[in-house]
Amino acid sequence: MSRFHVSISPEPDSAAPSFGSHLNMSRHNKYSVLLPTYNERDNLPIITWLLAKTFKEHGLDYEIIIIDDNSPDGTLEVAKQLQRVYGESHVVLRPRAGKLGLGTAYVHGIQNATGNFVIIMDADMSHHPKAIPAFISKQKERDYDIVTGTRYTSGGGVYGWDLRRKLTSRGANFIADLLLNPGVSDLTGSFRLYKKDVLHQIINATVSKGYVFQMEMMVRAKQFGFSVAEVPITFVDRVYGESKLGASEIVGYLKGLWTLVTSV
Amino acid sequence: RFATAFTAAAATWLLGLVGVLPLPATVRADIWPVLPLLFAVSLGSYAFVNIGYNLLVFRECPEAYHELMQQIQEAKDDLRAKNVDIA
Repeated sequence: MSRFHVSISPEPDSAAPSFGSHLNMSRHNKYSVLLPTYNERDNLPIITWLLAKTFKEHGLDYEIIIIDDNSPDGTLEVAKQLQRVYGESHVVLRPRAGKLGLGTAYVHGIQNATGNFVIIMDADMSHHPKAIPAFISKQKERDYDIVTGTRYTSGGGVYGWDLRRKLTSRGANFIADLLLNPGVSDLTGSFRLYKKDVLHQIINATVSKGYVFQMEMMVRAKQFGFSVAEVPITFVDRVYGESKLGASEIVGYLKGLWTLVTSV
Repeated sequence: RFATAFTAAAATWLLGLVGVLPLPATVRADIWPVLPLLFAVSLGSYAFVNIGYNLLVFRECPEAYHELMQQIQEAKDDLRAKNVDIA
């Protein structure tokens, strides 16, 4: 079996010395947040404000890399204003010429990241930066390669889903769990902390698109034997805009899942 | 990996059906042919219970929503004061 290891809640390990955490403290850690944006003119300032606030309050070195795919709504202009407020070392702009997809956005972001840790999250405020310190301390516990947010364990939760949406989510999770046995409770989640090199390796091995992309990353992580821990997160759905989960999305999900099952 | 397990199970079942495997007469006639159905029904029941249970214990977080709404307001006010274009 692979060395895949999952830990869900903080467990003070009295047997192990804190040698690892001493190492982490003496080495300087910098956290790069990748924010691919497309038409996030309203959300971007808020998420940046929340990120900056969280990092500052915890004395963490950070940068926010905004990868805008030529949004027609002026996202890039707002990003430049934010850069003026927070400084070019903290708000990094790496725009692209057109809508080129999430996977390549991450690749682009990693190439420009100067941190040793990378955080990926949604820019629409469904993910709250306040969870980031929990990710970081979890990672330090046993020097995990990946820490992923889960909406489904105690401490986590979702706001704004009706029964139908919840059903779709639990159904999707059930099928994925059955077929893939991924070892994490929230497979489609996209709020994660990675060691930069780990993310780089995984993305190079990932081929799917959309929802399934995030799932495939977890499956590849397991394949490569990376250590993964989970942290509960709250997910507030669709502050602005409407949710898009129609029949075509479901079909796409099942197709992608099938590809994943047969390729592993 | 899933495909190999499935193919192996399907092959075994078919072999049992046509008589290649040494099965006791009652098993082969009465039980074996309905095994796939039994499997499907069991899986369906398991799915039903699992999904149903998870729906019942599904965690909601209204406090997170309210906290976020408040912080959005705070952020907007702060950034407007710093000359960022906020709607």
